[in-house]
Amino acid sequence: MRSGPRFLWLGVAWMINDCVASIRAMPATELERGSSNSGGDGGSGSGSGSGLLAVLVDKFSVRFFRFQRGELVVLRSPEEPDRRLVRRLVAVQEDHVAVAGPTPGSKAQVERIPKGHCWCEADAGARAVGGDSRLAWGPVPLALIEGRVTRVLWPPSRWGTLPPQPSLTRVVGKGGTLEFLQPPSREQDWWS
Amino acid sequence: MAAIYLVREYVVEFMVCIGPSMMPTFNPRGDVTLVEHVSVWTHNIQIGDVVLARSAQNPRHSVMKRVLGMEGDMVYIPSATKLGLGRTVEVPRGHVWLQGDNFANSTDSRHYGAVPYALLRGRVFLKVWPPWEAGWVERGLDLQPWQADELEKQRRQRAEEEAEQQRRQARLR
Repeated sequence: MRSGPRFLWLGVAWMINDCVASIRAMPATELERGSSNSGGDGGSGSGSGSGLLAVLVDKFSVRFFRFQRGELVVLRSPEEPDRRLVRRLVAVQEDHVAVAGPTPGSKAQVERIPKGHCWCEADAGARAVGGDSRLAWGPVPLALIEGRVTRVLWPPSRWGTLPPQPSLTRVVGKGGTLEFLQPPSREQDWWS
Repeated sequence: MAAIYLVREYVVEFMVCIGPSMMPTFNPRGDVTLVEHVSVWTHNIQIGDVVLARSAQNPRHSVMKRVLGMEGDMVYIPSATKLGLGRTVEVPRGHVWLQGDNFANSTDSRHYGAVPYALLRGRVFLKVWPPWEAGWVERGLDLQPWQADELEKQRRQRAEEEAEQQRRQARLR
């Protein structure tokens, strides 16, 4: 390895990028909450933060399914397989979420997240490109999640961690656990 | 180590297929197969391929199923009780329809719906372990005769329904 060819190091870098952590650019507008759109879409948030943020994506803890509700995650879009999106993980399997209707003021519908799925929402609401669980997808498989956004690296003025935050959609029943993701203690029907 | 990782993740990998859901093609006791990842990231998966996918129900597990529909296809699901007509489902954008070859004993898209393409990990192309059964895993629907009959019946039924609908529309016009 001492005098190894350069592409070997490229391979190592790729592996770290895949398994441990990577740096990702994301539009700053995706982090801004559409404060005026309570429940419905079509919010007109202040468009002050233009430009890109560099964020650190933790891919290691996702391999062991260590994530919490309210964290930002990087997931592969269920509609366009090659696209990665940053969304907030609102609810995990067996949770119940109150999904607001398309128009503000309409009655919220309670939906149950099926097994192995999660509910991911864009902070920017309808302005976010690529859709989210509330507007388009519905519950998505947890296996789509690739990483956890842990901190902002650039610009330096926004340097810091990103604590979990509540989202627009209310989680009604937090019955869900991620315990099923721990290694199985007994023989399970793992071909299902 | 990195080389091993990259090859296993992006080129080719051994995989043991356990479970009854692919019964005529693979034995439930576990067959060793080779899975290639190239055709997934080059978007070369076609209808009839046997694929390895991450389970939509439990992200720890992987499943092996056959692709029965790509995005935009109409998939016909016979009703589980054989009463009534069953239903026709359109596979949504960016999704695939997966089913096991063992129609009677398989938890698949009939149960949890179409699966995002992003969950696919590779195409199963070679069966390695029991050596007397070793060989290429073929694209296409490897069906028992009665299953083929069933599918043929469904296809005819669907054609009839469509013809009926067209006749109805013509009458309306």
